[in-house]
Amino acid sequence: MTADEIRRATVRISHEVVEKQAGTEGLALIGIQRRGVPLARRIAGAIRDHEGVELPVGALDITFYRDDLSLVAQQPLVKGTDLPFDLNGRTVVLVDDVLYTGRTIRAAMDALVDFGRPHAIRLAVLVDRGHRELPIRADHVGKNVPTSREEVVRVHLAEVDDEDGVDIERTEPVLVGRAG
Amino acid sequence: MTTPVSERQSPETPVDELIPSVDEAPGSRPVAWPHRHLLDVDALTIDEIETVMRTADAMRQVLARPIPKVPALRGRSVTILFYEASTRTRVSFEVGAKNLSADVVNIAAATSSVAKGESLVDTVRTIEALGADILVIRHPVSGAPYLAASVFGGSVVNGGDGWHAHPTQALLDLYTMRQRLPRGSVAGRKVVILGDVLHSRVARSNVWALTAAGADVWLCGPPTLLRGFDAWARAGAGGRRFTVTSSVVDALRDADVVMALRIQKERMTGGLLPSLREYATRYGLTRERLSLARPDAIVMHPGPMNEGVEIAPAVATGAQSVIADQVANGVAIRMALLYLLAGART
Amino acid sequence: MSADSPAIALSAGAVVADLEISGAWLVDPAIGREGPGDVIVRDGVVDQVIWLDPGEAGGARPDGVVVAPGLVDLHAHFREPGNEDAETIASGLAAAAHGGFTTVCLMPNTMPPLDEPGVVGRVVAAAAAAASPVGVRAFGCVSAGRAGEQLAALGELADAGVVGFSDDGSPTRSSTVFRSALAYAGAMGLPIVEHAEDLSMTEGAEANEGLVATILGLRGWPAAAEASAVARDLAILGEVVEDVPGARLHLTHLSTRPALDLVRRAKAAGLPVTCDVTPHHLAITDDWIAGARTWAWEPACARSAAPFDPSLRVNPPLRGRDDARACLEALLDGTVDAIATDHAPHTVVDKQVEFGLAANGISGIETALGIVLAAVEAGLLPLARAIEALTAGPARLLGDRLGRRIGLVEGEPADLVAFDRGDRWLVSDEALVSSGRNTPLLGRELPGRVLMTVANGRLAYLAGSRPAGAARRRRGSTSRQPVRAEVPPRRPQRARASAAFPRISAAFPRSQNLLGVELPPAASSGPPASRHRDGSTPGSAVMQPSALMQAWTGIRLRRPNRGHGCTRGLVGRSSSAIRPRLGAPHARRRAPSRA
Repeated sequence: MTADEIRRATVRISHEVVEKQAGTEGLALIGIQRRGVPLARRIAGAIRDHEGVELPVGALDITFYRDDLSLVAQQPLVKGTDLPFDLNGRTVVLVDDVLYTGRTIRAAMDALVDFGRPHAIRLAVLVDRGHRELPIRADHVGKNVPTSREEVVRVHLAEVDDEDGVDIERTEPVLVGRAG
Repeated sequence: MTTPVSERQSPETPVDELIPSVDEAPGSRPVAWPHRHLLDVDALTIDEIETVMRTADAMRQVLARPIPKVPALRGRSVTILFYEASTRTRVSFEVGAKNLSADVVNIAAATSSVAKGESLVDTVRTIEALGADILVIRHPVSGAPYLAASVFGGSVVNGGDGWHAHPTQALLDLYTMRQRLPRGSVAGRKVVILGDVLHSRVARSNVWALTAAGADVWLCGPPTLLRGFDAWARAGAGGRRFTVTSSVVDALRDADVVMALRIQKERMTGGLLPSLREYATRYGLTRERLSLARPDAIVMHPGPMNEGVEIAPAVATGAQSVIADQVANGVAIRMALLYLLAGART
Repeated sequence: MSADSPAIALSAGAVVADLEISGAWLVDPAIGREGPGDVIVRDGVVDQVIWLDPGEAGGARPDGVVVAPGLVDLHAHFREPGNEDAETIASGLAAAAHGGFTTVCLMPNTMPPLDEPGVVGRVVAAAAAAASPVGVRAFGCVSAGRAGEQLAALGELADAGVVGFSDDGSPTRSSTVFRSALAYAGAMGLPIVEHAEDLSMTEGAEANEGLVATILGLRGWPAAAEASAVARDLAILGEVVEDVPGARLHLTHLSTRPALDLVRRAKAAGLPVTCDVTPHHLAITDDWIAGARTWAWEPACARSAAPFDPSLRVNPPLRGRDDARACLEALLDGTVDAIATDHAPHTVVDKQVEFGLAANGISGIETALGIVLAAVEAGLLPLARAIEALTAGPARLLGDRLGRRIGLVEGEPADLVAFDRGDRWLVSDEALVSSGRNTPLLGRELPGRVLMTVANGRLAYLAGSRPAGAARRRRGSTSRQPVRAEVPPRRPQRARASAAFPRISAAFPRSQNLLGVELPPAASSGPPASRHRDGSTPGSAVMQPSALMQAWTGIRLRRPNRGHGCTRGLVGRSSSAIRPRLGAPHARRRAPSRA
């Protein structure tokens, strides 16, 4: 995806979010660290542009909720959670860059309910690349990208990576690794 | 829309990392925690100490939540084996481990059983056979955690051994200092450790942690309780010098941090001190003495305190005291270390 | 295999019938001579000692194969009676032979201690049952029950044959008892061997008071605790010797510069005092407790081992570099009379525990020679002085009670050790013979593999074999071995396969009394008959050493009535399996035929 395509997808998602809620009442956006956070801010910005309403935006770090501490080679850096509003009774839209196995979203929902009891949780992602391992479905998708497991989807956002773009890379080492 | 395949070279990372089992955003990989055990602070680099501090920050956020519990260590078993009486260290390890959703087994071994009955090696092997992943051990004999680490298959955390080391205390002390000092750094700050240095594992571990962090460390106490430390100060801890003196006035003048150490009654019978009363008179941290330090100096104590002996009650509860913070930070630091060790790759 | 197979059998702790060592480096401290030469032993007696001119010496070098008188250990703890799990007299003697020692003096702190003659009798009986040719001498206690309150049965102990008195393990607690003992023993011509330690300064002490102890939080063991005890002992000796001119004091395992300085001055003043140091205090410092693993004389190095290794806990504690240096200086200037091992074996149960709770002591009788040779190798200690301090030095202290002459003396029973300074050996669980594996040197290579030890005309140890009485491998941390009254039949054990142990075919006639010595893995052929035990002659040995010996050293060990044929046959058959010894080959020199 190009920077332009990312912008258009973000704007479209912002409309869908408002449409689904039939307004902005009770809405909150929560980005999953790390690239979900700038995406959530962009969506909130788009909503402000066309609805004139400033939605609360939070950041959620799911590090402590991962189920793979012993599987990853290194612990992820803890980036912090910042939820400057009460979740209770709100409709929370979780925002992330890529939806893949669904485990991040599962962890994010676990984390979220530790902070309160939202009225509903919805999910918005920039890219859905398939290969779900859990029964999780996104409500709002920027783009569906069919991929193979040997590929890595890299999302770059200006806030984090100095530029916008989505690439798919083949990971050569897969050919030699992970037997069985 | 098309999805262009990037021309960029993919970073040379192991296969494991390229297949995250969660939807991991690439490019944000931190350095792995390289230590299987935490036995002493002297094994940690300043960067690693920094990692502990930052992880503790995240743990404090967790602790501030309505439900201060995360599932990071779910399914892990932490065994706490204490051969010495302890309240705050043991409880903070237990609370910390439970906050991370670990299963906690608490074994309070009577001190008297150290020299007889089941050997430490056999006890540790038994604990391992029962499925412990992390063993937190406190022991009255210096070096005992190293023996435990030599036979334990998981990670060993030193919860205090003899006079030797108390690494989690030193790290929480450093964390507390950084929290309370202007600009959040101890570099160049005068930190005074006052009291029974000779018998103090807290003092020894703090020497390592604080000199590594660049503090101007002063050890102060009666000469009988500083024996041998002058030579260490001259040799330096990892090459970093510190200062040893029996003069309370020299030590406290313009200090940024004053940490009083517990003085134990047994020291009198050992012929090291005439009396507690005399100690209080000559070395106790009183308001008058504290006035030698900088006006914004902070007062610390690893606990448990003998109020009126090594520290005056008014000082212990005064505005400059951060003793309560030390206790609260103890949980965050221990959570951070348990979390880091659980994912350690060595 | 047939009965006429080319094996050589030596009977019980066997008399060395015919041994020729040619082209070795001989060291004889008795006459103060070293140089190339040959030694010929016939029927257990030194037949000829031939000193060669350097011109005709061939390849013999002081850093090659060395032949010296059998070593004498003034200070060893075999734990029998009372703690046979840690060491028996049989296993200790086997270890001693492996270490090159042919006489060991046992300290009396057994359970019960040697404070009355009956216990001495038990030790003598156990030594006899061990059937080792290594000589056993015993010290008696200074005080009854080593309690320091009243004198032990000094006279009766002397009659029972003790070589002196000591409360070692601890000092003689009461100064009054110590003074009486010096006088009483002195009148009998026997020394008091004192462990110098001011107990009031060392209560609970864990490690030498110094930088290492400070950093590691170990309770300090001040050097002054040794010096002040030495000062007490010397002051008392000075008074006693006025009344009892025969009074003699030997200070054992001194470890600090101040204490050695006191002894140096006392000797200069003419006091009848002697002293020894241990190999570990010469070579190992307290830095090892912090994880260092370099010799005391080597430059300091980064830690390479985990700290708090309990095998380093010893009394007196390992000291700093300057004290180790002082031990060496005192050895060189004659202040120190002997090197004694303070061999102190312990069980895993007593040793694999927290540092401060571990029993004091290092199992050192097998590594003593290697440590001392490491100092020789470093150029710090002349070989002759090293050998002197391990032979003639301790022998002087024992006087007539040693019971043998030190030296390569024609007409005397052969009592010698041959070791190869060019051959390093790995200190390992497999290599050690003692039951006590409590040595910090495990995993380290030492110079000077002992090739053979001959004690009192009989073979005590031969490289590549495993002596009778050797401790069995111990597995697990807490399994206590049953107390053994005698050495059980040994199960087959594979010796290490290495270039130094060429495989040689051998088989053994069943009719012979076999046992005691385990062979290198036989490449042949037939049942390993050597493992059968025949009770009639315990400790008998089977070996086929000639080829090994010749290949390595030019040593030939022959059985006369079989003649050279056997030897040649064996060599011929096996030579292809034998690799030449490392280093310059020794020129073979035909030994002069017997007159």
